[in-house]
Amino acid sequence: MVDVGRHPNIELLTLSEVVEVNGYLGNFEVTLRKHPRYVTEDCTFCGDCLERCHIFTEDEFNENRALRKAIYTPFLQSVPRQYVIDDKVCIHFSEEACQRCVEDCKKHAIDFSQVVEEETVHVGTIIAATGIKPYDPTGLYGYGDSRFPDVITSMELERMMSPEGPTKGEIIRPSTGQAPSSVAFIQCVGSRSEKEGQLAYCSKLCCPNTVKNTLLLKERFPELETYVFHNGIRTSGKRQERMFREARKDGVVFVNSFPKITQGQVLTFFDPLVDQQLLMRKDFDLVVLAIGIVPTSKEMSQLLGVPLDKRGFIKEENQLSPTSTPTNGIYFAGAVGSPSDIKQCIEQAGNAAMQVSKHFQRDTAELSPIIARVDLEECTGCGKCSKECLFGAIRIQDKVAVITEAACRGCGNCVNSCEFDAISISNYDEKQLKAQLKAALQEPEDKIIVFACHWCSYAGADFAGTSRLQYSPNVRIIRTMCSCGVTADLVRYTFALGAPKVIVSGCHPGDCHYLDNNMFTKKRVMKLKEGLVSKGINPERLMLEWVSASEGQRFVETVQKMEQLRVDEDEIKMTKMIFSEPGKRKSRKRVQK
Amino acid sequence: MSEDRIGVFICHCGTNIAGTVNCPRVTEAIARTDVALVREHAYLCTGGQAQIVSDIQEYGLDRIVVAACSPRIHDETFRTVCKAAGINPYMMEMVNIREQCSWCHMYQPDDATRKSIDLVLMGIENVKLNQPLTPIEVLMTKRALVIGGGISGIEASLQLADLGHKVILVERSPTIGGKMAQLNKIFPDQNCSP
Repeated sequence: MVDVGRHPNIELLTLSEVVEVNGYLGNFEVTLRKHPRYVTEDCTFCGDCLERCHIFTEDEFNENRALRKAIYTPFLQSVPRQYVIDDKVCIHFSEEACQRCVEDCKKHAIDFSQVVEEETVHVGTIIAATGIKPYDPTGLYGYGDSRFPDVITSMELERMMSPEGPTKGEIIRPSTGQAPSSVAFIQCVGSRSEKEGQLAYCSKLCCPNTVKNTLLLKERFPELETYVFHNGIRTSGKRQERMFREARKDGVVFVNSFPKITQGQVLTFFDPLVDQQLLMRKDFDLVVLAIGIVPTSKEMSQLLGVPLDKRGFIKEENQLSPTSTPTNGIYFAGAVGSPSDIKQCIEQAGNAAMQVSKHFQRDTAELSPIIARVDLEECTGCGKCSKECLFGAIRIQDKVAVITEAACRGCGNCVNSCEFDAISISNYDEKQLKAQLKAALQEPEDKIIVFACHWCSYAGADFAGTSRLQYSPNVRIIRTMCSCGVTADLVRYTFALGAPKVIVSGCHPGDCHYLDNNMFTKKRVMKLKEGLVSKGINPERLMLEWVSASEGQRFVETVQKMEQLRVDEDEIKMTKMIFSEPGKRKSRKRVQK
Repeated sequence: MSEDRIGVFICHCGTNIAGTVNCPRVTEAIARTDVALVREHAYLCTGGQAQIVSDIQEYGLDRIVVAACSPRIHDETFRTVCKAAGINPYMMEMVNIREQCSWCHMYQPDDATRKSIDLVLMGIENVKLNQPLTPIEVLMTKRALVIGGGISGIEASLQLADLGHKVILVERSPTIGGKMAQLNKIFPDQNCSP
């Protein structure tokens, strides 16, 4: 921590937050809001001001289990080593206009004239590392209820056990101030629960953290009765199982059951396997709730325009790039991405730093030119493409769509949204896909057209070949970057050429290489299938199937399934006729007339 | 006659392709189209590279179709070959007649040959519409922003700073340290908080 404060390459801005991010890889404009500290760098940390200040408030660093003054330092090793004035409680800002700390500061380091400032910085890359906040267990197991003052959180226990904490490291019952003779830990508080307001995931840190604390307690108080109520202890990390074994040897009792708490802090616990049969009632002096962790990612997601996963953590670009977001140049590290312990945070930070460092090896960055291009003649500036782009790569400027080239990933989702044929993907132009179709369907009779995305389904078909899996030679594969690049127009065109069967294939939901763009594909195909039904065409002739790069077998099964479908000539003729009618695509020139 | 000067290169991949697909028949069929050149080679990805370069130059080809293995394997290889021969690397399309043809229709050589012809024809139609592209180049500001001064932000900042890069570390609270600083000891070795 101290190294950060004194490193010549690090500009540390505390009391600061990011309010706006614009730009792209190599060129991000970031607006920062800096809140006043009211104490300048001349502060020598002598502490005279602290003695003079007479305003107390709750100390959030000690989980509000202690008091601090209005001028304070969160903890003794704080970096930077300067005091800070809490302007929400300091009475200088009230009618009293107190000046006591100013009077005693020999260095004249207190400056009440400081105000909130905004600053814009220019950076090439961004690493989001905003971490987590602890789950608030109020209402669970009597926490926050005055009848149960001796129910505390694991974070409160951490502070209590710290020599710098509110009790100077003494373990006490908050109700009496006396040492407890028994303690119960309750695991999964807020975690692994489908209940409203709770966390469906495993917070991962709570099991090893509780085991750690039982070991520390047993070391100091071998006679302390220590119970852990859990739903399966998860200690799969390095050296964690050994820790768990040691705790059991030390006499910690692990009970695979969740207890109920009743008046007098009696825990009753049941055997979940034997029809909730009461196993035991026991009185505990202190109950510690192993609280889960909640990501702070929502705000980051909005600021940086990066997606979240279902749990609310930042979503990685794909599982093999664990610290990359889908936005070029934006990375993340630590628990903002998934529950991570200290060691994992450090590993991820190293990985993110390496990604950033790679960019800094060159003066420029080279990005793929296979991206969206706008035909300025045709574009009406309607803005539909801009709304559909999950990468925020399209903006409307002077009544035409403008692509931020460095932000565009070339998925092709915008192509479908354009009613004017004004947007296309370089070298994956719809005209090119149609030209391929035309060549493939010279003799359409029994052909199966498969649209396969580059990343998963095309690779899955490759894997089928590599594995020498055999399937019918009437399959014709057309590669797109993403399945979302298969427009409704393209599918209709395929049928118009007389294709009996069409398969649209992409990555599995959640695996898409372009955020969740394959969900657009799903929506589109479902709508097309409804269209087929309304026209009296068998909707099974259009199939949507997710095939991953490792699913060669699944690819073969998919085409074999389609092979089984019988489509008679009359039906193909009818389909051809229906879809050969001019499409609904508009031309800007026609609209203007 | 098309204005494009298209060269089509058909790879045998030893016997991987040529063992199933009748390559001379493919060549014969493609030669009947308006392409400028059709050439077979035993291994395009290795010995064939020099052949492609000299053919592009000798026949004045402006775009090529490489019928060989998967573009997922050798797209970059043949783009580099184009660059070496002096044409735009994006004026190349690969046609997959190995993973998606010879290997998956091993017992139907006639069908595999017909499919190969189809696939090459599709590739030709595709490459006709290819546009020369240049990778997008953006200037790199060599300064990183790290948001959050907990253990992850601290570590990322220090790693980058030690590598000589400039870092701005932004932290909302009055000190860095984050949740880690509140921990008494950390598992599994009960060390003090770093």
